Amino acid sequence: MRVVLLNERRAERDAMLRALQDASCSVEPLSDPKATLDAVSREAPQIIVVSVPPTGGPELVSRIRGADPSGQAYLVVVLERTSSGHEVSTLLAAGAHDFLRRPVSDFELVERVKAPARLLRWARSIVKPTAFLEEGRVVNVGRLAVWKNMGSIVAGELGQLVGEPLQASPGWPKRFSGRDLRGATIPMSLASEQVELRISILVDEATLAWLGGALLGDQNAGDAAMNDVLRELANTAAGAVKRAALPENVTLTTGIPFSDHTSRESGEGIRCWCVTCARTNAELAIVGEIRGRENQRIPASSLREGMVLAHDLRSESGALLVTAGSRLTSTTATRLAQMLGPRFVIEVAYAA
Amino acid sequence: MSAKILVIDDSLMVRQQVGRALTGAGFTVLEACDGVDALQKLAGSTDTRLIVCDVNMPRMNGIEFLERLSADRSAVPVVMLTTEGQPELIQRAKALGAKGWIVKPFKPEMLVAAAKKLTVVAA
Repeated sequence: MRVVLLNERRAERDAMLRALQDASCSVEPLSDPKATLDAVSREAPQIIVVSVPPTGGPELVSRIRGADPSGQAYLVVVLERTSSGHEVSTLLAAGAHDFLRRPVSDFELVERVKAPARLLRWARSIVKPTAFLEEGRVVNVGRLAVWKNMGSIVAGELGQLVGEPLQASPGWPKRFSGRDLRGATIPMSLASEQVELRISILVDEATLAWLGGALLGDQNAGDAAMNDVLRELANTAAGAVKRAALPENVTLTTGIPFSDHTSRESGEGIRCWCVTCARTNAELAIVGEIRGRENQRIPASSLREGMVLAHDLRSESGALLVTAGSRLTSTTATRLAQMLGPRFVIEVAYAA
Repeated sequence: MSAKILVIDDSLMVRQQVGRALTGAGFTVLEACDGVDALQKLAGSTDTRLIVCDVNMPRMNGIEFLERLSADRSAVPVVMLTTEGQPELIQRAKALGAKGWIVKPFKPEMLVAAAKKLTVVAA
């Protein structure tokens, strides 16, 4: 591995140099930032290890990232023992990938430098959809309490939003059969299981008018406003489910809600609840779906806003390994572009 | 003059609900639909006293927006208003300088109380 090492403290730099060379790294040791920028620009190293100064650390990290011609170098910063969490987060936000605190341990330094190779092996190991990542724990989503109780969890939360008590019972609302429905769906991802959960909220015209009155003060609000209401209801439902999942040690990642009027009364991995407001006779259908999801390798140019992705992973073929982790925003896409370098083309299409 | 509060949420419904609660308590409300829009609105308005910000938004989410404010050393206090509740996310927002975290659906009186407290402190 080609490593550029910046450290103004000679004794510490020499010790780090020896440790890295003993680990078969080719190291260019440097003592000043300008020479480091030149070396990074000239050598395109795989790893950069930088001892950051007491002030101006984030700026130095940004300049080094900018000097890297491939944009692919893995950057480790060395901090003081007493550096705060805020300092660490600022350096990570500026473009550092990892950090070490003083006194620098030779063993820790070598392991940090090996981290990108470990991540790549990990990425390759999860190609099978049955792979699990969280400390060997396998989650059967269908057995989770949050899945079994989704109807009442969502009903309770939506009741708070609309200011009326709502009751959930299993099954599809009978009066919805044969009617035109409006609705919204929100995708949620369980990273460790390569599983996507979807929550849909469907209503008929009568219930939609009631929601418009309760939430917008206008029973006859236009389509755009009503669709916004339905998407926010789906977002609220997802928030309730995510919080309810935490005690089961399950962390769900949310995508962007989208308008969806597809009626789904039954099917594999589908559960329905009828949510009722006794005072107004309004009814909503809550549909939960479990969708198995194999890892997908997609071209960077096919990225769409709202996708859930593992932004630290990259394949060698110019495609991103899309699993789970965070939702794609254009800001994230810009960071990805910086990280991946010019070989990748990233375009993001905005949701309407 | 009433204190100006910037409300950032991609949902028009939520912006309206928050706006009603805050204007009813005497605040002036400026709206933005995501972090990018909010940065533009902040650049054109130097007297913003508080920011109420969602987390999940297109283009630039609430955490990314906090990172930008932190990098710019903004002194405007931020309260997050979101359906999210993961402790890691709350800690991340706190580390980036967020002063409060309110989970939706919110109680208007709770939001107004937070706004009054933070705009007094920031005055």
